[in-house]
Formats: sequence, structure tokens, C-alpha cells
Amino acid sequence: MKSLTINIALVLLCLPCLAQQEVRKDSLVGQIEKISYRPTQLRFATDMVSLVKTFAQDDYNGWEANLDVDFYRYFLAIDVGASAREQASENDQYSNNGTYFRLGADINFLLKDEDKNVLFFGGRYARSIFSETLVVSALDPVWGEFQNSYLNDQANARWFELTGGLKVCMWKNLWLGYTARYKFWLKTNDSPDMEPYEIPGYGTTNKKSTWGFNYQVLISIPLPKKK
Amino acid sequence: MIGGLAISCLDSPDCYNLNNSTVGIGFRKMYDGKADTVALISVRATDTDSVFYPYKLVNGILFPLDFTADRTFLYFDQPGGTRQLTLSYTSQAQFVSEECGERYILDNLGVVSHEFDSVRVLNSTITRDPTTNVYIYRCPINDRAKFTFHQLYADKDTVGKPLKVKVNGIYTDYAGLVFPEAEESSYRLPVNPSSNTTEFTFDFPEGQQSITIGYQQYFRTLFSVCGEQALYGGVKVLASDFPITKLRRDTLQDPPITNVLFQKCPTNNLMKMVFKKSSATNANNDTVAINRIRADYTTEVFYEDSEVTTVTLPLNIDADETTFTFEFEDGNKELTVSYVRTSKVYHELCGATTEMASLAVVSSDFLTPIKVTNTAIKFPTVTNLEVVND
Repeated sequence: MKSLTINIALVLLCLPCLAQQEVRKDSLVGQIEKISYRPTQLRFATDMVSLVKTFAQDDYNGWEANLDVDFYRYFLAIDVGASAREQASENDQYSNNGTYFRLGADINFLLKDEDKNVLFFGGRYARSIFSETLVVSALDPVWGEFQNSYLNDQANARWFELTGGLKVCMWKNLWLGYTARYKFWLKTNDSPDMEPYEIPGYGTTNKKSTWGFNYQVLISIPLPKKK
Repeated sequence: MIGGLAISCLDSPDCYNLNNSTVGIGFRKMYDGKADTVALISVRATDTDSVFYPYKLVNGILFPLDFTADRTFLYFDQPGGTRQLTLSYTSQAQFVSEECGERYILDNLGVVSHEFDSVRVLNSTITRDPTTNVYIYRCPINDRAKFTFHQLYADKDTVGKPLKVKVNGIYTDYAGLVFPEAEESSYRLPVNPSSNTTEFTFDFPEGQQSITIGYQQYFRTLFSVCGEQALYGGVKVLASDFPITKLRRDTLQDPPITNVLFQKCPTNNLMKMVFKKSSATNANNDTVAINRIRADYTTEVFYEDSEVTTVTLPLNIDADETTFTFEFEDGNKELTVSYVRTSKVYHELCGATTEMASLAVVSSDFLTPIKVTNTAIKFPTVTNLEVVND
């Protein structure tokens, strides 16, 4: 984990070194092409996985919206979302709802693609604010019957992600894409009565790291070019 | 990447033993920090009717803490009285899954109050796999004399080996019964703190034997938490009914070291017979119903109303032959054996021992000839005769 953090830091530290550069496109012609870091488009997306789960599962409601803006081959990415879930077992009733956001950057590795499709890898910093309740009514062989309610109000969490995925232009400004996320380094605030079970945007807390997947529909809005 | 996603979806929590609410409590001696064996009548807690460790000798216990609260009040019922221990901790609930329900996470274990000599929290973290979290220390118990029984054998070993001896009870002249029925090779017995002598009476199945020891008492503070304690030294054996009584250590200590050693002389005249179903080699043993067995030289009766596979019978040390009469339901059978006797001294305190060898069957009412498997009479006993009761 420590080496991974160092590697990410090194990548980010190298970005300023790649300021506007002069690249010799064709040495025979002798022309030099300038790279522009001016954003060319905004891309809005929504996660279809959350929407499908919302319609398919009675106990889940959620949505996620994404925005990315390009700076040459680098993208600034912002995700926001919310989810609510209710679960019940034989003795318990559990509910969870909250919001989350992610902020990060991606690097495109398909620079020469004529359709401007994107194969990217990147990272995110994520935070979530949520609340959860647990109502217990159970029978223990030693301590007998007990009922209790637990509330974890204004809980918050943060984690980091490594992302990778593909965005393909299907038609004009319509894109489809997917993002795989490796989520790690989760940290939650302490609550005296209740340990968090599920964190919006992250998932269940029984694992120190976990995977996530989004399938996105994207709409790009071209930005005016510099005259 | 897709494989990782698939694997993460398949991973679901195991529902068994989710709570980490079991605390380990170990008993230790303050004198050397080593494990102490404690007699428990029971371990109880408030808010539950459950009783744990009834009538057990333990070095430590595992106890389920009350995860519905932030402290558990424990009561240790021991022969000397009941002692209380209150433990505190944090308890957090967590939903696990629809299948498993909830679990409770206990942490930050602490001791609120206790009635023991000393208590220490070794590990405030309570794990799912129980470990020792708390040590209960006791002050030295300095008023116990240790009596040990050893068996001597027909060899040059003058110490012998531990011998388990059954007692119906052990009594003192000042407190009555101090040790209940047991079968041990050593016994730790309390001396009279108000006197310089104590008489101990061992009630064996075959009769009673007593020993009186004398000692001197003085006071010291070994551990500040224990305060001033009475110590005992200058132990002497004043009187003893036991044939061989040896003083090994003249101070009473904790942990205990043998103060008085009782040694039993070897018994070298025991002949062992095993009943077989047939005379074939490796034939199975046979269980035989016997009304009684008598010998021609004694009025003592052996194996009265017994079902036996083997019998061990004492040969007459004052003769070269012994005749045994076996009384079965369907009649009596006699067996006469002969042997060669030699006198030998292995232990001066035991005097001359009669060794027997060259065992042979002189006459037998058993139809099948008796097989002599070992002509030497040994101690511990070995099988000397194989008999078919036909």
C-alpha cells in the first residue's frame, strides 16, 4: 500500500514536467506541432449500474453522475452520487442512506485514436457522508432476549481509488463507457454504539479494499475553440 | 480485473461466531508468575442464569461477556468463598448481512473492581479467537504442607516413583475434614496457624494412618499487596503411623515442594493370572464371574463377587508352594503353584525382600493345562499364568 501511494505521487509529480512541449512531427518537413492543454469538451455521465439496481431491487435506491474535462491527454474527473438501502434479517432491520463524491484525474493512453476514444487509468479521492440505523431483537443463549436500536448519525468516511476503463464514442456526442475501481485505504469516523456496515460509493466495510464497477452513458459538450 | 470483480462478488461473510465477546482469564501465582490451579465451584454473572465451570480445577477460564451492556459482573464461587470481578468494555453493534444478522464488537477491556489479591489486564483487545486478556494473581499460600507418596521397587532407586493413593478423606486435629475423597500421589494440607503442631489423619479404604508434624511460625511481608503473612519453618516429624516417613524440606513453600515423603516397600509376591477363551496362541481374554478366591495360608478373601479378566494373587512368602481355591458358580477349582524363594535387601528401610522365581504349576483342577508365561514374580506385576476356565 505504501509503495502504491509513492507510485501515484510520483506520477502526479511528473505532470508539471509535461507542460507545453514542442514535438517534431515530421523531421523531413521541419514543422513543429504545438500541444494544447486547453479543454476541448465537457463530458457528463451517469452510472447505469446504480439505475438498474434501483429499478431491479426493492431495497436499494441510488444514482451517480460524473463529469470530466480534458486537458490534452489528462482528465479532471468529478463524481457525485447518493444511495439508500434497507436490509432485514431474522432479528434485525438495517437502513443506510448518504451521499458521496470523488475527485481525481485520469490519463488517456489512446492519443492517436481518430474517434478520440479513451482508454484511461487514474486515481480518485473519495468521501461519503451517511447515516445508518440498526434495530435488533434477538435471543442469546446466555444473556436472554434483548431489543435495542442503534443509530450512526452523520457518519463519514474517506477512501482512495485506482481507476481504469474505456470510453467509446458511439455517435456524435453520445458515448458509452465503463470504469473499474479498486477502492482502498478506507477510514471511517468512530461511533460509540455502531460500526458502519455499508458506505455509499464504497460498499460494505467488511473488506479493507474492494472492487467496484460502473457502466456509463456519457454526453459530451464541445467547448468553443480559441480563435 | 473482471476476475477480481467476480471474486469480490462471491465473497460473503461466514456467519459462525461473529461476536468477539469471549474474554480469557488466567490464574497466576504472585510468587513466581506461573499458572495457578484453582478449584472452582462455579463461575456466574448477573443477568444470566447460566453457570460455568461447575466443580472444576482450572488454570484459566473463557467467559462470554455481556455484549448488550458495557460491563459484566462476574462471581467466582470457590471453596473458600465467592469473589467478584467486574469488567468494562466498549460494545459496538454492526450489521453483517441478511443471512448473518448483526454482530457485536467488544474492545477496550478494563477492570472496574475485584475482590482478588491482584488483577492485571494483559490485553485490552478482545479477539474472535479467545486469548488470555486478564490475569488474576493470588498471594502466596504459605500454610500448606505437602505430603507425597512414592512406591519403591526391587532396584537401587531409593526415591521411588509417585504412587497414587486413594483416600476417603484427610482430617486434622483442629479443623476436621480438610481434604475430600481423592486419589492423588501428593496432598497439600493446611497446618494449624494457632499451634506449633498439627496431626493429619489419612482415612484410607484399608484403614487410617496419622502423622504429626511440628513447626515454627514467623511473619514477613513478601508482597506489599499481600501485607504481612505468616510463614512456617523448622518442620519436624513428631510421630508417624507410616512405615517409611522421610522429611524432605523443613519449610512450607508456595509453589509447594514435598515436605514429607511416604514410601511404600515393593510387594514381590504377587502372581498375575489372565483368563483366556482358549489355549490357542493370541487367544482373546475371557471375563469370568468369581464368587471368591481363597489361599491356603491366610483367611483373607480375594475378588469376592467379581467379574474379572485378570487376578493378582499374593503367594505365601513363608512357603515354597501356595494353593488357591477358586469358587465359581458351578463349583470350586484348586490351583497349586511352586516357586523358589531368595532373600534380598534392596532398601534398608524395607528390610529383606523375598524374591520368587521358577514359578511352576504343581496341580490344577482346570481342564486345560495352565500356560506359564513368566516364571519370575516381578513388581510391577507381569502375567505369570494363562488360564482357560473350562
